[in-house]
Amino acid sequence: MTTPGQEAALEDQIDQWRNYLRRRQAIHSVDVAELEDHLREQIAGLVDAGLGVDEAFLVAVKRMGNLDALSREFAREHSDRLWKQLVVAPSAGGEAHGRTRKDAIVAFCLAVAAGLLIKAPTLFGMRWGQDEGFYGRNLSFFVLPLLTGYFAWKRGLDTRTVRWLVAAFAAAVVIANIHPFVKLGSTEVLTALHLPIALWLVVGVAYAGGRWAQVSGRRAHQRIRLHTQPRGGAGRERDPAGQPGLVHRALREASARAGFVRAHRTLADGLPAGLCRVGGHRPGRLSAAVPLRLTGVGNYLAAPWSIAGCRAPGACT
Amino acid sequence: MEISKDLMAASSTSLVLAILVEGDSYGYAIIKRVKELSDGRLEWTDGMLYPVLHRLERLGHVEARWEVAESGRRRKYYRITSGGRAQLAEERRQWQAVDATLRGIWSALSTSVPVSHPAPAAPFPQGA
Repeated sequence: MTTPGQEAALEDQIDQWRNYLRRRQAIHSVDVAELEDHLREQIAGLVDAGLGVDEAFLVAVKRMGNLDALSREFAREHSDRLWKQLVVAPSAGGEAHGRTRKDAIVAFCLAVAAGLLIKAPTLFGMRWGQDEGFYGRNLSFFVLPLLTGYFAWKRGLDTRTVRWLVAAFAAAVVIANIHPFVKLGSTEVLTALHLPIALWLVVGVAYAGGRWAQVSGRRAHQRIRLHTQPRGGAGRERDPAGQPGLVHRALREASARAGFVRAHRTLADGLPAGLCRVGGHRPGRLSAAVPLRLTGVGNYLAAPWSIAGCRAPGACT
Repeated sequence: MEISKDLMAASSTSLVLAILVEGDSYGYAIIKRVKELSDGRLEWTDGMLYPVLHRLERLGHVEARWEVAESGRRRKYYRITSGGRAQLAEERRQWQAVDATLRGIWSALSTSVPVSHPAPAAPFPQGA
C-alpha cells in the first residue's frame, strides 16, 4: 500500500516525466496522455508485484524505452508534425511554453501593424499604383521598423540602443523623403534599392541584441558537455558547506563565458534527473551559493550533466 | 533467447492486429498479451508499440477511441477494422509462406547436422 507522501512524490515524478515528454515536438499531448496511462498502469502493476513506488517508477520509465529513440519513432510516423520544430523554438517546460505563445501574439500583432502601415500613406493622398517613387523609396519603412521592434522587445534591449535604432530609422525616413528626387531618376532608383540593405543592418544590430560589436556574440550559444559521476550521489552537489562541486565549477565557468546557464542531468534513458536553471546571472555573478535544484530520480542515480551556456535566457536549449 | 529487433518489428503488425481480433484493447494490455503469448520471449520496448498503433490507425487497419477506464483515467482503445482483418489475412499468408520455407530447410538440415540445444544459463527474468 502506498502512503500519501509516496503518492505525492510519484505524482511529482510523473509530472516531471510528462513535462520532459511534452518538449518533444514529435510527441503530441494526446500521445503523452496515452503514454502516461501506460506508465501509470505499469507502475500500478509493479507496485502490486511488491515494488516500492519509486522503484516501480524507475522500472516503468526504463521499460518505456529511450525517449530519444521513441521520439524518433514518433517523428517517423508523424513526420507532418516536424515542421513545428522549425517555427517554434524547443521549449523548456511550461514557462517557456507561455513565452512561445507570447512571442507568437507579439509577432502577429506586428504583422497586422505592418499591414496597416502600408495602407497609411493613402490617408495622405498617396496611391499605390501612381506614386511608385514614394512607395519604392519607403518600402523598407513598412516592415523593417516593426521587425526591429520585435527583436528589440525579444532581446530586451536597453533604451540607449533602442534610441540609436530609432534615430537610424528616422534619419533614413528624412533622407528618403526630403531629397528632391527626380521622378524615377537614377538617384531615386538607387535609394530604393540600397535603403533596404542599409536598414537590414539596423535589423541585424537589433537581432544581435546590441552586441553587434562583439565577434563572439554572433555565436549564439556554446554548449559544454560535462561527464561527471558526482561521488556520493547527487546530493553532494547541493554544496551545503559552500564548497563548489564539479558541477558548480562548470556552471560558474559557463556563466562567466556566456551569461546565462541552463543545466540538466540526464539519465541514460533520457529522463531529466534534475533541472537547474540559472537565469539572469550576468557573468561573474553566479556564485557557488546558487542552489542546484535536484528533484525526483536525480537523487538516486549519478548521471552525466549537460550544461549549456548561452547569451540570452531564451537561447539555452 | 533474444529475438532480434528486425524480427520483432516485422512481426509487430501481425501480432497487434491478431490480438485486436480477440477484442478491442489498449497499449498496456496489448503488450501484456504479447508477453503471455510468447512466454516472455518477445519483449517489446513498451513505448515503441504506440508508433506502430498510430501507423495502423493512419493506414485504416484500426480505429481508436478515447474512453474513461475503470481507473478513472482516459484511455485510448483500439478496434480492428475490416481493412485490418484483410491485412491480417494477407500477413498470415505471408508468414505461413516464410514459415513453410524455413521448416523445409530446417528439416533438411536436421537430417544432416544435429541442432544443438543450448541449456538456458539462467531463468529468464520476468516482471521486475
